[in-house]
Amino acid sequence: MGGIRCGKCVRKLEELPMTTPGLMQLRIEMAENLAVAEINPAVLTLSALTQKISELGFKPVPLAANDHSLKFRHREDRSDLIRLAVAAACAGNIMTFSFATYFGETGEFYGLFRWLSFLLYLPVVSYVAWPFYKGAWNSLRQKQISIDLPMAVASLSGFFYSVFELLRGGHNIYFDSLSGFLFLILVSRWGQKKMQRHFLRASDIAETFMLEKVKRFFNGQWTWTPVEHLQEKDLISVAAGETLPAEAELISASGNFSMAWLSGELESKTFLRGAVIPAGARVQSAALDFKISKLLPDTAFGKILQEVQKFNLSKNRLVSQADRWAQTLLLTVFSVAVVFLFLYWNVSAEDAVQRSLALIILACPCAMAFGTPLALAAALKKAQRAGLIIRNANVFENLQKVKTIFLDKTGTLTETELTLAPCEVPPTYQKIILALENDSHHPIAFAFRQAFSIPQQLPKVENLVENPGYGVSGTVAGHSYRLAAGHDDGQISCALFENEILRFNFSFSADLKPDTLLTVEELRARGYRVCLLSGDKKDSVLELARTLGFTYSDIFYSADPVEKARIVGATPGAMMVGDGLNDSLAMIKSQVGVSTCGGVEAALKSSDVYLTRPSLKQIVSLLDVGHDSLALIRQNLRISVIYNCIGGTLALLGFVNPFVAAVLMPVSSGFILLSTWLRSRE
Amino acid sequence: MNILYLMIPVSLLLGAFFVGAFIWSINDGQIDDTETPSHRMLEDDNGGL
Repeated sequence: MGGIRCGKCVRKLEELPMTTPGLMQLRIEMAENLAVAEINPAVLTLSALTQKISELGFKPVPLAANDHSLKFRHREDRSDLIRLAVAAACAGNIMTFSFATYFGETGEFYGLFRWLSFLLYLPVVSYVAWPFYKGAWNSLRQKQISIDLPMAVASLSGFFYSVFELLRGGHNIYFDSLSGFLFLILVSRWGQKKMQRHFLRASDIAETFMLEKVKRFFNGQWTWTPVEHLQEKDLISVAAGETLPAEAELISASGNFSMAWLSGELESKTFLRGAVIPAGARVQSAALDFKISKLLPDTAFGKILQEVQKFNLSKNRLVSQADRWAQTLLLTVFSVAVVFLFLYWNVSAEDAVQRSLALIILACPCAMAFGTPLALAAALKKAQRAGLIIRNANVFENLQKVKTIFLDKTGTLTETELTLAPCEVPPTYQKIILALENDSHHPIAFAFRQAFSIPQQLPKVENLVENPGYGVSGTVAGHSYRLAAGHDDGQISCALFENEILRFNFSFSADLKPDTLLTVEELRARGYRVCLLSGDKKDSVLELARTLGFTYSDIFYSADPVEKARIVGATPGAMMVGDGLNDSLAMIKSQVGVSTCGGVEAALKSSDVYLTRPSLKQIVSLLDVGHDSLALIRQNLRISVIYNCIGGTLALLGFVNPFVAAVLMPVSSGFILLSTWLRSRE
Repeated sequence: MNILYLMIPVSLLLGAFFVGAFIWSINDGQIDDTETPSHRMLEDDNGGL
């Protein structure tokens, strides 16, 4: 159910049963954008209900019958909670009984209380600790040590040792410490899971993009259809303010679109009937009709959405490295505990066991095991809020290595939008030019459409050929026409040839993007070497470079794509910021490739970061996010190392008994969770 | 202190009962959604009950 924004919406919907016969109950789950309705099918049909809900301004989409993901997640959460409850109840009761023994109870109840502790620990050692045994066993089978292993070992060895002590009448039983420990660990894991889910949930950008349903003309009538059910050649109608959910041919006479998601420009572009509009364009005029030519998953835009939604942390280098460190730590702790046990056994067996147990319980590779993935997920969310789409988490690590930033000129530093210099063009020729450029997404085409008045009818063009970057050609009413783009003294220009005779020359200008100068200065102030890398001719490049204060050695002009790639490849620690076909080769060679809006499909495929806003300041935001996230990871690691060293030493020296260790360990995890959460909120 | 021989089983039974009640409420799905009730609570009831 899309469109639920606040409590009022919830109320509006949940009150519906009062005014809708046949609707028994409507329950909203805000976090999942879900609504559960109970209907009496004899009185009210599902489609009538969806119609009524749509009229209220929401977007109901019936879930597929076999959409079990939410149910599965709920079931998982439920069993975790039940385990928590059992652990808490048992731990609490065991502690009640053991307190008495600590305070000196020695009479008839002493034995009774100890046996009660034992009995109450049985559900803990079996049911509550079960996930730890399973996890530890699975990881051992793969010859790895997971964080479950110390818990499993502590739980079982503590159990057996305590039973042994109980039977022979010894004093040290640890059912209370162990059950308290297991409970607290489960609590911190619960907190971690919730936090991770919160960070990894689709962020603002994806939600804004999220195209839920669209009006489709099907079986003779217009119906709201979920985007997933659309087919090629479907007729759809998209209203003003809505995003086109597929690549489609415009059927209405003309339409205004904002290509903000695709090119970053906020002004509207005009397209005429027959033009193919890319997915992601937002309709700005009245409702328009389209015929779908390509479905969302096949479009460049759709592919970005898929990337954003399935951000995968497991293959990330930092996380794998953190995992390896965690394993090293655990291995070290185990070896130390075993060695200590043997060495100290002769001094005092009881103490030896107690101290080793305390050590095992205390040691926590928490910062590595979940602090790092959590910090990365939090950083990703922060980045998305700042308008950055990051393809994979390795980017954060690579950002640290960047020393030089290469900036492309056209489209990156300057606006992709061009303005046609004033000129006199008779209407017949205007129509011909518009007809030739009808399907083109080239900035020159947009400039023409902006400058010329749109006629009712466009002349028909035969043999239309577009050479991206070079021009278009075609035949109109028997005459062959060619629009050739070119460079003229550093200005972008275009010439119209009729039957190979030059008729008109056009020139275009482009402004600098906002904040360009500020950004370049900021980057220099931070110590980066900023270079201009452009395919344009010497004059136009030098002119821009002078405005922005580049030194001569940092300027590269007339660089074709291969040359750009060579320059970038020869520079270690390079970040390439660009767009268009020209830059994709260079981006692949760079440490971090950033594509700005105006991004063409090839650039988007080969870059690591995609800027969704037109301002160049986003580069600075990107560097900030990368820096902050790594700083957080390092801080967490430092906390963890200090804690383990000091705590471990104290445990071995006998200052920390297993009970205290059982409290300290979850507290330290909680501390790390807290620090991650706090730092990610800025 | 012999009363303890009565109190201990009673308290354990009480504890077991509450754990059982908690498990029931979880299986009934009352804890699945923790976000919406906080919003729902702020709205006034018009009629209804």
